[in-house]
Amino acid sequence: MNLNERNELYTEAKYLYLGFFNEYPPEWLLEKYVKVHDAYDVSASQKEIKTIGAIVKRGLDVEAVEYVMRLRKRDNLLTKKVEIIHYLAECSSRRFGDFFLEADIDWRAWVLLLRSLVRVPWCFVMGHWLIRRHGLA
Amino acid sequence: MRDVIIVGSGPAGASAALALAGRDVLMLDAGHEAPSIPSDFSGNLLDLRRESSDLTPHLVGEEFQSMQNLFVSRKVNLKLKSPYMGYIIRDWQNLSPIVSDNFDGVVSLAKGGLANGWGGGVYRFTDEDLASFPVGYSELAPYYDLLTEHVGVSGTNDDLEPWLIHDDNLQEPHRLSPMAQEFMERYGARRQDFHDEGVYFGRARVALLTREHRGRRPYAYDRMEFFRPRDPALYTPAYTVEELVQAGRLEYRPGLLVQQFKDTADGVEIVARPVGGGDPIVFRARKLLLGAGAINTARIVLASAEDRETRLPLLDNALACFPVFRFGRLGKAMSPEDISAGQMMVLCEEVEGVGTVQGSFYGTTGPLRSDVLFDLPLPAGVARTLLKLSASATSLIMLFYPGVKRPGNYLRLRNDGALDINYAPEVPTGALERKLIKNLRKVNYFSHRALIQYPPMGSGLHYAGMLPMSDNPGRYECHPDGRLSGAHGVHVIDGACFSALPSKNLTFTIMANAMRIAEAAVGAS
Repeated sequence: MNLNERNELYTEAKYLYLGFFNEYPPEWLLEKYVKVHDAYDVSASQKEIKTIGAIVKRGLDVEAVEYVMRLRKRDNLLTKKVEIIHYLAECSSRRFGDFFLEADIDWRAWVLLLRSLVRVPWCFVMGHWLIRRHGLA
Repeated sequence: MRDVIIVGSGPAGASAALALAGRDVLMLDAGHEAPSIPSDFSGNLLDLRRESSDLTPHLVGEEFQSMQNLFVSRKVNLKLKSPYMGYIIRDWQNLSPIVSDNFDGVVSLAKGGLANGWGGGVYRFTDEDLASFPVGYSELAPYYDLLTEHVGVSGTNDDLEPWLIHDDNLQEPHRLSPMAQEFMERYGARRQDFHDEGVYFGRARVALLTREHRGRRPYAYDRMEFFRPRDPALYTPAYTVEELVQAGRLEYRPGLLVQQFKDTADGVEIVARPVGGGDPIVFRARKLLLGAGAINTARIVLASAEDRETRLPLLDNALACFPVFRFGRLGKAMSPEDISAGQMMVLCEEVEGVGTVQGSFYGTTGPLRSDVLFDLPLPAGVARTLLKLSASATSLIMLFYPGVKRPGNYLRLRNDGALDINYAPEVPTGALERKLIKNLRKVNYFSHRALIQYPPMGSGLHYAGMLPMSDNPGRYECHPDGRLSGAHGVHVIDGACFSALPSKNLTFTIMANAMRIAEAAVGAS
């Protein structure tokens, strides 16, 4: 992997992580994201690779786009990359509260869940629109 | 010449060695060892996740082993892919390959076998379960009793007693999760309604200690089951092998893969290849006990006959899985008892066309969230929120259907030494799952038919029936004492000699039967 490719992966990881966790990732996560691409063959079609690049460069809603891409084809490049980000994020104590409840929140859970579920139709519609608008794979 | 050679150190091999302890017994085994675990990966996993800035080496792996399912078409069992558990299935595709389009089988070459990654369910077969076998419960009972004491089994005698058989030697069952505890209370209040539908719930019987036993400490509720092997509280046959070796009652030779045998009236010649490569080594014994795991035992028998044509039968349990929700528990943080071990058992009587079906109720807190997040038809952030809020409100029911013998389901040895396996998918009708879902609603536990999944054949890891026992065995069948038909000194002691595969977990019966066969073949120690 040459320096350009590594830098692209760093930029990509920063953007994907930011899209799901609203902050930039720690340095170790960026390093490991690149290392995963060394360890496994994360190859895909040129169109899929360009799609990832377009999402990052144009600052698109990655959650929405990934959602629709996954509905269309489970095994797509963007979903794999987002999964890699999540595997690494889950290993960080900083993200503990994103994956686990610290204490009982009882009725507030329903509020959070309903608020969260509103994003489902939003992501569905927005994802389709972004994919068509930007000619994504 | 040795008195006995045992092939394999899994449930069958270890139990046979236990039965023959102190005799002249040599165990040959591939014997991959569990890795040593760094000292900083200890304690409660939830606490570690809360406190450690980077748990990647332990949960995902330095080589990102836990992510392998993102890059392969045939997924690895979630419990067997984490970095420290991966040794259980290390190298199997190179050393004991299987070729199949429709069977997700896997083989273990580890010391202790696939039981190093099991759920620990230990259940006695009743006479009804053994109906197709040439042995009955009374012949296995003494061995079940011995093993209950040796292994350490926790559970209780409850509504499931008619099917699990009364046992006075059980340790108290492990603590239930709040969701399971509440379920048992609600079930108790409406017990008869369930029974009228032929549905029974009770505590699982598990080889999981709740008290110290034979130098092993009780379960610590540390939630490490998916990530750290060799928890002293959860039995693995490796403990038996090590105990016997340490006591000088078994000679153990790891690093060897048995290829074939030659059976004569004077004894058995066994050819083994070093796992790391090298010239074959020949051993001789009066008796050979084959306990390499049903699939590998069948491979050895076919290779010994140089038979690349015969299709041996193969039995597997079709599986059905679905999550169950208790909406009243949404928003509850996980308690120490929210573990992934089997909490309860469900038994469904007289399922049409199938017979009795058994299943287990598991917690869902074992695997990484990322293992399941993207399988939900939701945006990732929404799925993550849902899993977070429902962790303590969700259980998983996994049903095992009895294995069905069909001519199209077979195993055959290829010229290249791989096994060709064909196993036509057996997708249950869904009637039982829908019936269970309907019954669970009576006590406000919810699921939906759209959530039912049917994992591929082979993924249940219960294989049996390639060389079945029979009163009048033909070629590639075994006598009631496990002796391979036509052979003088070769006995099959693992699931390959099972005459049927009921719904009930077969491991404990493999162990008891292996002890029985070992004593019949050689005499009690």
